[in-house]
Amino acid sequence: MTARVWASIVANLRMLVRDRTALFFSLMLPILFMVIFGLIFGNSGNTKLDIGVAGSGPMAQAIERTPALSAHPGTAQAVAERVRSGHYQGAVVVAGGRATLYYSNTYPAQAAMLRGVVEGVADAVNLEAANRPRMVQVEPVSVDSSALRYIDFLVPGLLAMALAQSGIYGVASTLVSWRERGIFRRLRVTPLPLTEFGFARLVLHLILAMGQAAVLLLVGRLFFGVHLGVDLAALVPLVMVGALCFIAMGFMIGAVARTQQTADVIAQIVTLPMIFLAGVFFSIDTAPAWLRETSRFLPLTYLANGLRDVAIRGHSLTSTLPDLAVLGGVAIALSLLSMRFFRWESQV
Amino acid sequence: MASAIELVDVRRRFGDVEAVRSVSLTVERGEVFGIVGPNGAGKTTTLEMIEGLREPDAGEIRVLGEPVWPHPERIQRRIGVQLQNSAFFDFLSTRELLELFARFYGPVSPARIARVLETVGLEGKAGARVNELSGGQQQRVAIALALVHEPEIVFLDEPTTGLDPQARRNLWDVVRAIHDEGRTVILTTHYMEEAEQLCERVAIMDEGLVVALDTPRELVHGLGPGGVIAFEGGPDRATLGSLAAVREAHAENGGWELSTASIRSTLPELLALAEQQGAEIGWLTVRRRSLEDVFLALTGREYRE
Repeated sequence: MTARVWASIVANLRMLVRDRTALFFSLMLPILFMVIFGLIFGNSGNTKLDIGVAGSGPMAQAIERTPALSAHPGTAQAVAERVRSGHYQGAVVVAGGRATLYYSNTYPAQAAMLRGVVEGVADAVNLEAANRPRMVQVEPVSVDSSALRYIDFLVPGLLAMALAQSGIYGVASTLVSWRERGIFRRLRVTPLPLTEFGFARLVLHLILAMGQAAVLLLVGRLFFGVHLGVDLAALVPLVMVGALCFIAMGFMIGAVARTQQTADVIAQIVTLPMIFLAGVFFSIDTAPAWLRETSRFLPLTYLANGLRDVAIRGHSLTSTLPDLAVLGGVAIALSLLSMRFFRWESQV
Repeated sequence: MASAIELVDVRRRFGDVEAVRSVSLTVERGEVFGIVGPNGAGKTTTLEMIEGLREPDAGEIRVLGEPVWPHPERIQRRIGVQLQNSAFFDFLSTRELLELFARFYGPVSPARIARVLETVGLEGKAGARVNELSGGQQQRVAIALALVHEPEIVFLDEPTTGLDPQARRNLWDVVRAIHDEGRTVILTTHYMEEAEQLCERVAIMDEGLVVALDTPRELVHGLGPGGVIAFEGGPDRATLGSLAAVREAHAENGGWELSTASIRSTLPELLALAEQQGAEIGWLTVRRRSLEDVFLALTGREYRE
């Protein structure tokens, strides 16, 4: 890499980290969404923890007497199912000398509380029966290692949204503003070929995309306990190709828009409906058929699904190849089309 | 040694508009050369064709002996350009911007950056964000960017437009400093006074043509002897025609300006006329002719900045 390309990348990085507006839209806004939606859907609003109880004996009676818990008796299979379906926060199944606690990680704070309470109850029961052999042992089993929680669903979607916004807005708006202000014109009287500058800008956007992926997944993991799949390296091509697809969209808008205002409006018209129709916030599996059909034409759908498959469901890279093909195909097609219209300078 | 710049019958049109109808001129090395004229005269287009930003429809352009077209990038290493309406990348400091541009041309020398900052008088603003500087300071950044690679020729396109008088005078000092370093400077301006102050030779352009080219002194001399008498009030305007040596009279700044071939004869005549009519004179000044008067004489139109 030549020194001047490197210098262009460094200069663009400086501009990026000092641009609070861009940082807000590329990082803070998705995190804000994570917090807001995490709060709305992460709290059941019930102070008592619902718990299913199966079996009988001192442990079962103790659970039913505990004020912090609202006990619902039932068969072992039935109560475990109610936990899985999200109706109960947990279930205690007493069989012989063992009490097994089933709980859901949907709301990690409640799960931790539940474990604490049930273990406390078990200790009390054990203490009462101190002269007898230790009869109750709590063995926690999480039921949802494979179940998708809302926040698990949301975080990869937000990452896809962030990549789309940064690509489309970042490229379209900057491109048109620099062209309007004659910055490319100024670069044209230096020995730096503008294609080299464009390359530097592309590298910058890919660095930003990787940064967004790292920050959003880390915040999701640390603050919302988002389950991450094993093959996170498989995210790299997905994030890169996804970013390229939306950079190409921004490039296309930048090629046809004459003024920055036009570019921003077009970017908005393209981005906002896509975010909702591609199922960033809510699954569209239950949506009307026409909507599901529409979403199949949006590249963001493929990026969001691909990211969910790898980041949350633990799928391998090969399973995302169809998504990669769609995103890459759109990226190439839009880039080629844009080049036909693109101008470095405003026409006189 | 080849001249700094040579243009032979250069033309350029935009659609139906002949922006540059025919321009031929030569700029010598080490010279401060000015292109003046009203807006739309073709100054900027002419400059852009020399800088390699716009290809001429016809004619020949050589910079430092080399043809600019069709490969302008060859001479672009040796020239420095400040464009009209300079814009910069946001969020970079003056020094970072200079280093970036210097890097486009080769290795960066911190000493050179410091010297350029000194030349344009921005030593104290090296760490400041460019978009937070004043208009005059930003214009000096634009000039610093044109100097950062030690170019042999520096192009300044209306460097003082939009600046207050103080900032404009500061910028004149910058142009003189560049000249003192031995560089050729070619600048456009629509301030005739500025061209007289700064330029060793001036090309006056109007409607895509060079209507005059010489030193400011010779251009003014070409108008013959005499000067300009300006006054307010005074004799009735219909009677001004009776003044023998007056070549031209027009309203200006709420008063009148008389271009006369002889101040010695016109001044007493004017005062006598006022005396006759009992007309008081508000104020009266006598000045030498300027490039604006040259423009008026050449085009028959008054010069408007």
